[in-house]
Amino acid sequence: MLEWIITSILLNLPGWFWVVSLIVGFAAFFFASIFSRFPHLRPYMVLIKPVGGLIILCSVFMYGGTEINNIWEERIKKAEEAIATKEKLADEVSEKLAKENADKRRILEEANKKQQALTGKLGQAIAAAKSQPSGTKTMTQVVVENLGDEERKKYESMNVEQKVKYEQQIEELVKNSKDCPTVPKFIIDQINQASTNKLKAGEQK
Amino acid sequence: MKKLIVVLLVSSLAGCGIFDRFIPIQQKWPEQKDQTLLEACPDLKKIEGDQVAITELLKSIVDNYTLYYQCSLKNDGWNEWYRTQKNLWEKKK
Repeated sequence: MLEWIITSILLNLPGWFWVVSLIVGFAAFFFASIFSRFPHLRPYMVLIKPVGGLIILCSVFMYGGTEINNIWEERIKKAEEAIATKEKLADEVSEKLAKENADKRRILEEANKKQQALTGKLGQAIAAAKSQPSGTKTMTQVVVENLGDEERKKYESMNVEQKVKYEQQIEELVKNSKDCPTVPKFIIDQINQASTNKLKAGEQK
Repeated sequence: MKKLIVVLLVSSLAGCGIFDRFIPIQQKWPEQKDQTLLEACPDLKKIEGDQVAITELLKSIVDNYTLYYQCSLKNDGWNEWYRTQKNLWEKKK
């Protein structure tokens, strides 16, 4: 009930106050014991002695409370500092990881764009190779020209063995495109079906 | 007797200082800064149309592979974030 009074005293009075109070209590108790031997002072000392004792007990109690309060405040302060440091570190780590993830996503998107651009040109390159009159340029030359500078440089930097292999691949690609201009519907349906497997797994929940 | 009471009182007050388990402060679990990781993985793209050239099929396949790797990055991102944060959380000081 009176806890708030003790708490407010603990928070507002310094520790040394209770040390002084303890000394006063001891002095009162001690001198009251001595002066009680004088008959004309005894009636006063009978009152002062127990008051001194009460001051001693109260001072010890309050000094102990103040010190314990200080110890706890110090511990809480240290714990708060440690937690604040860890939280700051955790935030920094989160931000660092977020940045790393963003970099990875950017690299992935760039690779996708690059490959999609090449794939887009591939259709035109195959069409150009199919309509190219024979004898003017090789099939590979026509395809490489239509695929852009990067692919052309890559082709030109190849050694003879690599070029032979690459040309075979291009011929196979153009031949395949001539023989099978469109992908069979059955294959498309199978691919589309496979792409919805996740939805089916979700339905079974 | 009085001395004994005083000594006991002082000892009992000093004894309170040894308890250190119940400090009423707790660390917050960190927030995920990368909002992209909170998004669900999109569905794979379907191939539209009946007359599909091989190059169109290739485009869809490349797109779907990219979607897979984007989702895989999210999963790896969460795992790495959780492992790192857990290590930090469990670290004493």
